[in-house]
Amino acid sequence: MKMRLQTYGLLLFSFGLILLLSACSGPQNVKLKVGNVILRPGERGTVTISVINPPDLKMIQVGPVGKLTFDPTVIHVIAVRGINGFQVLASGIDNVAGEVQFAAGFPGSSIGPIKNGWVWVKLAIIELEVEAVGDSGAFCALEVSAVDLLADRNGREIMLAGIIAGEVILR
Amino acid sequence: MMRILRYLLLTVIGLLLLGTMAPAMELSGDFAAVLAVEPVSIESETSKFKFDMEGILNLELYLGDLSVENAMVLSIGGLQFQAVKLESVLSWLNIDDTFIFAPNIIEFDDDLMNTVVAASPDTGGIVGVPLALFFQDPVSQLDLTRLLSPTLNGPLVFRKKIVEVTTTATGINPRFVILLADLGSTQTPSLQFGGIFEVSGCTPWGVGLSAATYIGARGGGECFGVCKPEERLYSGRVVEGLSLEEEKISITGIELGGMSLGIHASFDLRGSSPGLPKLEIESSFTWQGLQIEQTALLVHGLQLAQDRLSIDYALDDLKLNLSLLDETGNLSYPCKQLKLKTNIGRLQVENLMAISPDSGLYNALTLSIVTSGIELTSKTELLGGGFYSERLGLGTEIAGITFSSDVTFHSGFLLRGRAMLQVEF
Repeated sequence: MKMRLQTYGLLLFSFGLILLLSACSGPQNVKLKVGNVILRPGERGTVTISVINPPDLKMIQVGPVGKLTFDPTVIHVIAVRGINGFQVLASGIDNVAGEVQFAAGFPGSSIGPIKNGWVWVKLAIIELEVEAVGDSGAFCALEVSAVDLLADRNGREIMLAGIIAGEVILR
Repeated sequence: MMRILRYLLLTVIGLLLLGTMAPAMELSGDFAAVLAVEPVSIESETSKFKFDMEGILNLELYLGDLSVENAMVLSIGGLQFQAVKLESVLSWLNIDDTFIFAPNIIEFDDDLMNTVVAASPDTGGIVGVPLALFFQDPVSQLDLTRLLSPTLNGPLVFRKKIVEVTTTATGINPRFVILLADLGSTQTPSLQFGGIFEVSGCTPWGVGLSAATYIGARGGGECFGVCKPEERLYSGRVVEGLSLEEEKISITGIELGGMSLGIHASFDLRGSSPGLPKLEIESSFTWQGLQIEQTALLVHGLQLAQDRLSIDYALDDLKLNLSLLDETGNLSYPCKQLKLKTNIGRLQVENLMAISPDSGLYNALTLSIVTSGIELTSKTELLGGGFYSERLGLGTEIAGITFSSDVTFHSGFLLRGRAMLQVEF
């Protein structure tokens, strides 16, 4: 009996917590995350750019102000591709300055959390094909300086809570 | 439209005639009419609406050991899907023969996202789309209709045939699946064959064994029309060429010191040298009333890629499940998920709470109650700790007709509404 009361007490506490969180209705802590990759010199690989907590994300644009930077003595970017429904509408790769800019969107739809046995709130939307041009032991950061546009399915701006940099290591 | 109605009428009359000709025959089925709407714009409160309307008819005719099932999906553009399944059961042999007719065929992988790998006709922008996004319904139902509607312009043609033969012989259960699919266009058909040969059985010690060989076929599925639940098949997908594609071996029910073990190995046989197996090892045991299950996924030469730990606890009406997920390979389980299910009086409560690095809290609370014959449901989702969506549903049955409807609001706008009428006969 005591255990049952404790259980229901816990349940009521959970409800209260959820209602409190629902009432807050603050931003969804949306972040952009650049992935990591380990390559051998001369090898090609892919780096993904993902969105964490995507609330109906439809458009992303990095440029003309923002850019993804890398060390061109370590890697070269070969291609920028959209994945998981995203299509790259325009892109620019500068392997001299070590900069990539792109605009991508999901025609006809948007992305949200996928519940497929597990709740997946991190979804990859862009894939960079990179080639290791540096020597073994070299490494470089993949940093997005700013996101010019992040919009939902209604064209409304999504507030970005943070950008997490990635890394390429040559072994 | 008149042609479609005539076709529908002829099908119903044909099955009814068959039913009346043989008194032993039995006809049953159901019909559902579904309306989905979404606002054109959220700029004002008086937005126009886009809508999609469809009718789903299922007919089943039984004649002793033979049954005929007919499923049809009709939409604004006319008949977009028809499946006819003949099933005969003999004493030791079961034969299912399914024919699919549709203007299109969409093939998707059995990966996490159900990624589209091929589409015919391929009108662009479909290959690579994660269908799980639409199957799990976080977007508007009209999104998938919009995405696939350019593939529906052609006539209804033969798209797939599945023959499945299962039998039981001295404890061994062979299963043969022959797949035939038209992956071409309506003008230039391109028929491809494939087959799945599976043998399963059980040892006297209770250990279950099964082996499935995929020839010209791979795991995954195919869908047709606008890939509504009635239009999806998970019997495997046909690929070009008739070569060895996959081998799946399962050993289950191994008892070891109070622990039950299962091993599932999947070999990719494409290319000159067969790839290393993808191995899934399941173990489960009970401890102090807790049901504990662990699933480890090993890839690329037994390298730990994913590990899941699931702990279930039940006390009267309360059911709890704690799941931990690790994809780092060092068993640190950074992702945690807690599911709770209980009843408080007539109120049914389900709550799913998930926490993972960088993302914060995801929470889905579902409440449902039946009062005066009406079922009311509410589902509230938090994403990253902030409000994300609210779905309100209502369902009831009046004079044999089931009515259900729901509306989904996302943060700051109405995503979509849906209403369905269903009658069984």
